[in-house]
Amino acid sequence: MSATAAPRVIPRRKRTPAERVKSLVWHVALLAVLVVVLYPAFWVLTASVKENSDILTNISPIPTSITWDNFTAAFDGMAGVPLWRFFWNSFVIAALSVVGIVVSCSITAYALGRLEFPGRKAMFAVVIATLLLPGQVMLIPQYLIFSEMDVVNTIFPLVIGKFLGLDAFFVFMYVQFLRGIPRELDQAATIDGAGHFRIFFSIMLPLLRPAIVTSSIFTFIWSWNDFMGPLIYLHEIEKFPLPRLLQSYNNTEGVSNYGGMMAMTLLSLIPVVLFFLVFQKFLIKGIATSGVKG
Amino acid sequence: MIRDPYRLRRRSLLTGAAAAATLAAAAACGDDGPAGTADDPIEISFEWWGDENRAGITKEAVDLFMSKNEGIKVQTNFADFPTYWEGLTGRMASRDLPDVFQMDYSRLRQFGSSGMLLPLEGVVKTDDFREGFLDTAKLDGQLVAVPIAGNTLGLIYRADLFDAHGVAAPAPGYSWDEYGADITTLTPQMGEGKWGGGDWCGQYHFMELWLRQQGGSFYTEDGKALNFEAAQLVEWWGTSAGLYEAGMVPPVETTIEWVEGGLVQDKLASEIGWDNFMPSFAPPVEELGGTLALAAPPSLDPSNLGLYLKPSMQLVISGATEQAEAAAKLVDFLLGDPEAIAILGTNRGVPATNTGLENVEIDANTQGVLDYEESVAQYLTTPPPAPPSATGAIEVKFGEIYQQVQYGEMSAQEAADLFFTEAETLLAAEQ
Repeated sequence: MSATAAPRVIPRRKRTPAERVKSLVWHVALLAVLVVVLYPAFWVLTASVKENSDILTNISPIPTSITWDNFTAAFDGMAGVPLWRFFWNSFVIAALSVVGIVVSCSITAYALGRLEFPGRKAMFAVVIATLLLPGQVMLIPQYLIFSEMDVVNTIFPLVIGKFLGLDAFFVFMYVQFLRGIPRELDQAATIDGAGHFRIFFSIMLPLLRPAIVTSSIFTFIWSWNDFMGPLIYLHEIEKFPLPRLLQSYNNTEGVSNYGGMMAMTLLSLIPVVLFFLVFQKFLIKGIATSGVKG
Repeated sequence: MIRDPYRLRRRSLLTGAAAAATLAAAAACGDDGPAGTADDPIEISFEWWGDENRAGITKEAVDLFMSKNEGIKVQTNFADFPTYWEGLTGRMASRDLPDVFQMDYSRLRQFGSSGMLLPLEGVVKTDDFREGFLDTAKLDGQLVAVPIAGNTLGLIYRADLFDAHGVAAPAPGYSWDEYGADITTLTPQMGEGKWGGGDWCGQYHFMELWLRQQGGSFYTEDGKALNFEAAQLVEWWGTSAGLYEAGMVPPVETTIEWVEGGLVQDKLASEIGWDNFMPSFAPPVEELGGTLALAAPPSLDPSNLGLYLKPSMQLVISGATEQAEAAAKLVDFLLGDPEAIAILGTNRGVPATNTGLENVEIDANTQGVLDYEESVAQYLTTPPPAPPSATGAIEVKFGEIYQQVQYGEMSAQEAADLFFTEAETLLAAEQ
């Protein structure tokens, strides 16, 4: 074939009027659903520039007057603690959680999914069984343990579980993913003289990329939004992550500061959205490059 | 609480490298007990419920305390009311309570009877409290709390709307029926989606008031049982039934969706409630162009309004504290230091101490509360003993079951029987 062959052009088939109408209706319907889905976000956006009394009495998302006070107040932080501090606290917990999950769950999954050892099936069953245990049941016993260890009021209780592979959901996800990777790859590596560490780091880890990205996104968002853990374990305003700050706009005895809450909600959403966008790129790339034909 | 070397060692085994730093810190601190100097401060913790405004001024007062007491470092933490109690009850199991914390009268027995609170007689200053305030800080004769502020029930109403629609300002001693008649005058004039008053029947505090007006009480003296009959509950629920059917008070379908009170939403012209809520409701109502005022609640007996001064908030010290002296210092400071009082203002209510009252700056709305309390002072009677621990759960049940009556899913008689079964189970569970 000649090197200068023009790219093959597939002529586009003309659509019939009926098809056009169908497509139009379909898109209009989709847009309508999109409006419904995005409405709450839009409401938050406009409420953040409303006066508090306007939020309470005016149901329409269009503000009667625009004020930036909610944002200036939010940038001032709370109780003498600067705003960046709350972001930093949230970020540290979320970042450590992501690292912990990726490291511990991938290793655990490799052991449970690839190694042969006595009791492997039973252990895997136990890991899965912990999925069925509701968190509330463990709350007080866990608190007692951490309190005995004297690590309450630090982020230790919030992240240690992540480093010990306690998130059975992700272990399960990684194991399922590993099962999809052909054993021939391991065998080929073994023939070349690779041990388990080499196989894990050079072969499995790169192939696990989509699982790593997915678990990172979820872990980041979950720990960013976690409220109960920080409520129980962190007893100092300086250590509050963002959800505790958001909750402080609530006032059950008087009138809640909804304006402040909405402004702060928007600000605290930014890092999560950025994180998602960045990692989602990896996800798509990961799927595109890891295709293996068995 | 972290100055125990054995605990540190246990932790070091578990946390490995992190412990090196901790041990170094512990070594720096030394083990010669709580020195309480600027370099080696005593650490105490202080927690309260509230919003970010309260956090700001409380933190400011605490900072002032720390600058005046160099050897003491105060760790502060807060959350809003329901969340605060969720957190604390979780921590109760390991007796890991803050050294000083804000207490609600309805929880006093729950914490106090299990020995979680330090007896305060001789520990904190008690000579400056306004009359009648310390009575409700005692549990079975022992002082376990000190009041920050107090409140009593009243009718919070829109003076402008009452005036505009030709309803006279309620004077102490008016009856429940007269209040109902006022609502019946107001509601039709106010237009669609607005009502002259709220339905008062779903609040157990209001029924307690009604029972006290007949010389009764909600709980028995020992707090172990309900002190009224199902028939009385049916009668109580009947007090607003006519108004509810006629649509003079907002229907449950509407109120269940409210996330804020009817007054601040410009939907109600009056509501029975705690008088100290008025100053926080007043600014949003003023923005709507209204004025709030306080009047005595309706009564069955013009000479007995059933009112008593309830501590709206109290301060307590944990029984497990290792720093009782520093904790007591903080309590005394928050309640008695003129500068601290100037900072804290009336955010937690009108101060319970005389020093507090003299040093606090009082705005028109707070003055309204003081004037109201002054006007009903002659009607204030002996407070009931601290309610049982289950009272929080009973309060919720009371409201939920009354909603079933409002929805028409149960007759008042069935609902009353159900409430008695539920309440008795809750009361039995704690004994």
